[in-house]
Amino acid sequence: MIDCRGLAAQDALKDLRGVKGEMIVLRSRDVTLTRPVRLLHPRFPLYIVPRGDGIFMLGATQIESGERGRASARSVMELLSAAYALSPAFGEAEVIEIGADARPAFPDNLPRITRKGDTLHVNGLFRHGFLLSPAVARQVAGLVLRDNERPELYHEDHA
Amino acid sequence: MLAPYCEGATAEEPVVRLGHEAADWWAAQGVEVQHHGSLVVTLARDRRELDQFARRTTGHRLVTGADLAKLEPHVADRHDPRCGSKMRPISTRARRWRICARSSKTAARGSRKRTPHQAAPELAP
Repeated sequence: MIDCRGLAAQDALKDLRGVKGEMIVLRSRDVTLTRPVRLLHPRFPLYIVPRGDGIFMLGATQIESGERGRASARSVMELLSAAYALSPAFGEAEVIEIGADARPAFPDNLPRITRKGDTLHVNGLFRHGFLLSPAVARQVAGLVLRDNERPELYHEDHA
Repeated sequence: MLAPYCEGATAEEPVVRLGHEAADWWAAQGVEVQHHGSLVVTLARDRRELDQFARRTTGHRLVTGADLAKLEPHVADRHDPRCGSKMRPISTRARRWRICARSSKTAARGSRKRTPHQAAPELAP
């Protein structure tokens, strides 16, 4: 069995923790971006991803909390303030969605493949789900098919 | 968004290295993947953040005002075109390059919040 339940697998993976992320989706016809823009700031970095058709995703906070589904007023205010700093036209944008959830992460914020009995636990992709899932899946497949018994992300479970 | 180079500013080395597989893999599954790079900007008062970001990552180049206006006109509106001229250009990596830019003091007026916070890039194809 391959267990990829994300944060729900905390019952089996004691080191797994939640890192809360909040995001906002805006619609604006007045702003055009052709690539993601990251705004660096000592206290508040932010990125804006253009999704086409005037849709922009602002992300994302990173808070040490396993809480899911509750975006705080402060986070929303800060995300919108930073977008406004990048382009005042975002001030007129329509708020389409405010999202919050918790990412599954291990202490080193790297993914782990752990074997417990007949189960392979694949978890801890943190904020890199789409970025790392191809490599993680390749390593899991190598393990299952016995092409590579010790993939890079294999984590020895001593618990 | 798949941004392995940018992630290198804060993530461990395997994230950058393994992350480079992602774009081609998703494209092979039929996902439309565009390679436009990312634009990285900072408020003028936080210029050192940009330098620090550049030291921690690879595959970027500095973008001056005129270049920026061509790439992202809506962002360039908020940037002082003179800012870039004092900064040494950083090398470019083709295809998935990243760009550093610098914003003007005008942009700084829009953001007054100072609560400690870290951004967490979500990644979506």
